[in-house]
Order: sequence, then C-alpha cells, then structure tokens
Amino acid sequence: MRIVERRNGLVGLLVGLALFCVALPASAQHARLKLDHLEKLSAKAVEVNNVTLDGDMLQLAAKFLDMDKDDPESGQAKNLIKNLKGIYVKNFEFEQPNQYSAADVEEIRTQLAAPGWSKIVENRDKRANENNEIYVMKDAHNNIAGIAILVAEPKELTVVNIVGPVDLDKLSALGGKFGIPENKEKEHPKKKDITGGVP
Amino acid sequence: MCTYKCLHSNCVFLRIVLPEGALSAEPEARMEMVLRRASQGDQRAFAEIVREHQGMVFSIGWHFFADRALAEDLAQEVFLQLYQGLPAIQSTSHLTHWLRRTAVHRCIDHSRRKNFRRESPLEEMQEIATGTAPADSFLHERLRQTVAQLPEKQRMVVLLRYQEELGPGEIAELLNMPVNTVKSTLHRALEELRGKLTRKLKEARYAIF
Amino acid sequence: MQFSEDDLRAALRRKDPGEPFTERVMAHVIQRQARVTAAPRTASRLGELWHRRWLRPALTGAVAAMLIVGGSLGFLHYRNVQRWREGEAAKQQALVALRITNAKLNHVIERVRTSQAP
Repeated sequence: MRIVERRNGLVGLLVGLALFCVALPASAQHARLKLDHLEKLSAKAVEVNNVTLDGDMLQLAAKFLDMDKDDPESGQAKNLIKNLKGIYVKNFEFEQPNQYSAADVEEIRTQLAAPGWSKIVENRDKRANENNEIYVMKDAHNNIAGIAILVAEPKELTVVNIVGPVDLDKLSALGGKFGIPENKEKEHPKKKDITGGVP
Repeated sequence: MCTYKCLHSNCVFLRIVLPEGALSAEPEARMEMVLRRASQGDQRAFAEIVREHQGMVFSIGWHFFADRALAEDLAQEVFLQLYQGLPAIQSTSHLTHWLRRTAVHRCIDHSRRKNFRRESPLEEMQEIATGTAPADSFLHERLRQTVAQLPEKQRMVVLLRYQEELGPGEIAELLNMPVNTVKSTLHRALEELRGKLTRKLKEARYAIF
Repeated sequence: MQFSEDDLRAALRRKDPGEPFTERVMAHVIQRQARVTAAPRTASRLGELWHRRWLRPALTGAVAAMLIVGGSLGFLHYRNVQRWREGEAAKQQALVALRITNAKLNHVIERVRTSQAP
C-alpha cells in the first residue's frame, strides 16, 4: 500500500511539474486576443490604424529605435518594447456614430473573461455613450504578462493588446510627441493599414 | 451618468500621475540634434527637416505664383539644394533663414526668367462670387489671388510681411533693399491691393447682374 | 474694398503640401545619393590599356571578376536597403502603436478622474 501511495504521489508531482512548465509560456499565448473579426470595420472607417507587431518585426523595431540614440521619443519607445512579445492595435475612427455593433465589442470581452485576465478599470458614461476598460493578465509570479485596453466611443473604437511584461506607469508617462495624435491630414482622412512587413 | 469602478484590490495604476510637462527635449534643442544628424548623412533626419519646413518653403512659392505645381517644383529644388549644402548650415535659425532666402530668390529668379503673370479669368471670379463660401474665406481667396497679381517686388514684400511676419529690416536684408524702400513698397502694395480688389468686385457684380 | 492686416495674414497663412511632397523630395535625395558617375579619366586610361594585346586576357578576367563582385555587392546592398526599409517600417509601426496606447490610456485616466471629481 505504501509503495503504491508513493508511486501515485510521484506521478502526481511529475504531472503537476509538467503542467506548471506548460503553463508558464502558455500565459503569453493567452494574453494575445483574437481581433480579426474587427477587420470588417475598416470599410466603414474614415481612419484606420492597424498595427500587428510581434516576433522578428518587433525585435527589428526595437533595434531601429535603439539606433536613434539622440531621439528621446525613440529611446522611451525602445525601453518600453524591448521585452515585449507582441503589440496589437486596432483603432477605427468613423464619421457617424453606431458604425460598430455591441457584438463586435462583446466578442472581445468574452475573451477577456477567460481565466488569467482581470479587469482593473471600468468606466462607463451613459450620457456620452462611452465604455472604457483596462484588463491585465498576470503570470505565476504576479508580474504583468499582458494588457488589454478597450475604448468604445460613439465614433471611435480602439482595442490595444500588448503581450509581455509591459510597464503601465511608463506607458502613460510617455512625453514629447506621444499622446498627441498624428493629425496632419485630418481634413483629408486616409486609411493606414500597417500589418507588419513592408508593403 | 458616469460610473467608475476599480475592480483590482491593488490599484496602483490609478495613482499614476500624469507628468506636468513633456519629458522630451525642447523643440529647438531637438531640431538642433536633427540638424546635426542630417549633416552627418542621416536621411531620416533630413526627412524630418523637410517636414518641419516644407510649409514655409511651399507657401512662399504658392502665394507668389498661385500655382501649386510650380510651387512644389521650386520647393523641391530648394530642399535638394539644402541637401547638397547641409554641412554649411550652422544652426536651426541659420537653416530657417537659409531656406527662406533661397525660396525667395528662386521665386524671383523664376519670375524674371518666365516674365510670370497670372490673371484670374472672369468665370473663376463668378464662381467665387456666387458660391456658398462664408464671406471671410471669399475675401481671403480674393486677397490671395490679388496678391499673386501684384508686381513682383510688391508681391514678395507683402508675402514676407504677412506670411512670414518679418519686420522691414529683415525684409530689407533678405531682398537686398534699403529699409525705406521696403516701407514704401509695402505701402504702395497695400494701396494696389485695395484698388484691385474693389475693381474686381465691381466687375464680378456686373457679370452676375 | 476694406480688409485688415489680419485678413492678409489669414489669407497668406502657410499651407503644408503634405506627406506626398516629403516622399517626393526624399525619393530625389535617395536617387542623387545612389547616382554613380564614372570618372572620364578612368575610362580613357582603360582604353589605352586595352590596346596592348598582352594585357587583354588579364583585363577581361579583371572585368569579369569586378562584375561578379559588383553584382554580389549590389545584391547585398539591395538586401540591406530592403532590410533597412523593413526596420524603418517596423519602427514607425511601434511608434504609432505606442502613441495610440498612450493616448487611450490617458483618456481613460482622465475619464476616471472626471468621474471622481465632486
């Protein structure tokens, strides 16, 4: 009996260890959201910012940012992204309100209801018809493994998904040109679809 | 009704204080860095210089000739000339001064070579007169067109005074003219503008009615 | 017809020709940079050498070798230019992403602050 118990105990320990090892990298996978269903909104938007940056391209971006040693903006950006696994941004601006549906946003919330994600900020303004949410995913060591920002405004929908150890303090404290939209051609809007890789 | 909830027990994030001012360098110091890099052959830095100053260079040509394509061509030549002579540019203020001077002289040279003169056709004036544009933009459009019809010297003095906001001394230095000549040229230009505008509006009214 | 100095200033306000203009200027800059002009002195000297028969095989071999090396270098240069372009594009994407993220994050903070205000 004792030998069987010991064997069961050992097997249990090994299974637990295997699961733990699988769970660590898997958290990075779970932190990535599926946002393909939003592609259809590009046709209705007057301005689209679509960024998919991961793997080699993200490392290349960090390298090129590092080369701009004199540029403070590039320096801040490089420090932020150097340890990330992926940056995914979908931003759609519409001329009229109600160009995206609640279902479009709900599909993202369903993913964010999965284990691992925690909602840390929720702000709803019924008068302005605006919902703002911020989620984080933490790893086994309680460090941030990913964030998701969901800003649903009447004429604009933004989803930001960053996979990896992102520093929220640094992200919101970016100075200089950050935070000021590139709006040179606001009178003549155009679509910018950047999907990783040279066109 | 606006509701807020912090659902995380350790909401450190919400105590983030936005910085009072920008963390990056002052704009002028930043441009000095960009200029230095461009002088060393950094094409990205040169592109930034182009973006920063293309409005000024293009507008001098555009308001002088009232011809967008020509203004773009001249502006392009100015920047290509700048690219060749970048190492000689000592500071951002020198850069602005150099670009302005080069743009102005290119416009004058081109105008003398081509004996450039532009007259607005009556049809165009009618369109503007009967359009639904608000009164002030109609006036501004007419002003732009009329400025482009002034004699070359008057045109440039008006541009430098009202587009570039230069004083008579600076205009005199740029155009190699005595200061008093600048002042009298400006005075005559404004008289000419008033006269031309009044005449054109009378013509337009007759055309409509 | 009366107009003020402010009317003139407004009428003659600077206009930006936009990003297409910048791209055209840079395209010309890159073209000029890439232009290689062969020195006329070199060409006439090579002509003199070619007239000496015993040098012809050596010259032919040298030219062939230069073409192969030049071709490889050209290809490498092309790959480097491609890689540079990819890197630049990736860098711009990263900056766009961070700008939007920063803007939206601060938007949410502001909304939260406003809702907390008495």
